[in-house]
Amino acid sequence: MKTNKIKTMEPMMNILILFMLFLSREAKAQTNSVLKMDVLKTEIMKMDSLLFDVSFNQCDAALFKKIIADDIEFYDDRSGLNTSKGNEIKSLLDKCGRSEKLTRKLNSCTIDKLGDFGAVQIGEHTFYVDGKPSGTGKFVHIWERKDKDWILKRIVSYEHRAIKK
Amino acid sequence: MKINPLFLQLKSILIGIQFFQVQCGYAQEEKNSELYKTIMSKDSLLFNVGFNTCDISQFENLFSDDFEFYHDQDSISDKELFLLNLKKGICLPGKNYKVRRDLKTNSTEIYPLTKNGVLYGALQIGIHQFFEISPGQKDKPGSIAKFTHVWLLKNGVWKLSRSFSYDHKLPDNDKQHSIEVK
Repeated sequence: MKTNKIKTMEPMMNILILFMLFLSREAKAQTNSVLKMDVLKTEIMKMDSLLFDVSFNQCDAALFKKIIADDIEFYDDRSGLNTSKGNEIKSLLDKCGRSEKLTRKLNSCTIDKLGDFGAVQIGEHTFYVDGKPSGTGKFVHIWERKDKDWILKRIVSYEHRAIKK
Repeated sequence: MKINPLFLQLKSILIGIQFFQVQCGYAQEEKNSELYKTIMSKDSLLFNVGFNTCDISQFENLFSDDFEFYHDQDSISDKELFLLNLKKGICLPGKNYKVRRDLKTNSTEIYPLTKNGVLYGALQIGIHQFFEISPGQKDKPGSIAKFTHVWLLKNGVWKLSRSFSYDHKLPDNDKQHSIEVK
């Protein structure tokens, strides 16, 4: 009787072990993907900060030049499509030459991976003139992973709204 | 030179309107607007006709020649590669199942892209779901994804120029793959 019971339990145990093995693999796969996403988030947020907190807000044109792609495409809802890197740098320099100080703060964003190519960042930001909020806008950024660097390849800037004073 | 006071008045009104427009910027298009309807009809041609019935000519017509497709799981492709993948993949003749794309109701947002007040493109953002269809069987729900399309008006013709497809997830998996940063 006893041996019989053990015999029926054996396949069950095997299934159980297999199932547990499967579960642990699943858990590991999930942890890996969460970890990867965490790294992605940290890296894109760092790039966002370098692009805006440093190059845009503090007028570091050299850094700006490093971050944006040679074949940049900037789709703006008010000023058209710009595909010239030189023009992008020029408009940063123009902005930095003005007496009023224009700065940008990120409000929120989502980050998704784009295969082995890079990442898509979609978000909302607020612009300030001399520290006072002047308008909000939404954006889509396509980031390309190049070796160990992140390059901003495509920008869509839309739904610009003024903030009522 | 004598300036007609009426002209001055008109000018100030025009400047006022312009100023108002700049202040307002460009908000999301209303569902009954011309632009909304135009883009949605192009979306329908592309997916309801092109994708769902494997009418490749729709893609050939609606994609710009320098079309770029960015996908979170398959990375990047151009027009040629995209069409090739379509012909070799879900539209391969003799395949025992078909794929249908449904646009999620009320998920579409359309924004105009202008240059000095002149429309040159539109941004379309939405959520769609894919279904596997086999004869005699219930449609099998496939992945749900977000997409962002950049449509450009080229010589009066709307062309899909850039397509970003991301945050693919299975319907029974509620886990949000996008990382939200607040």
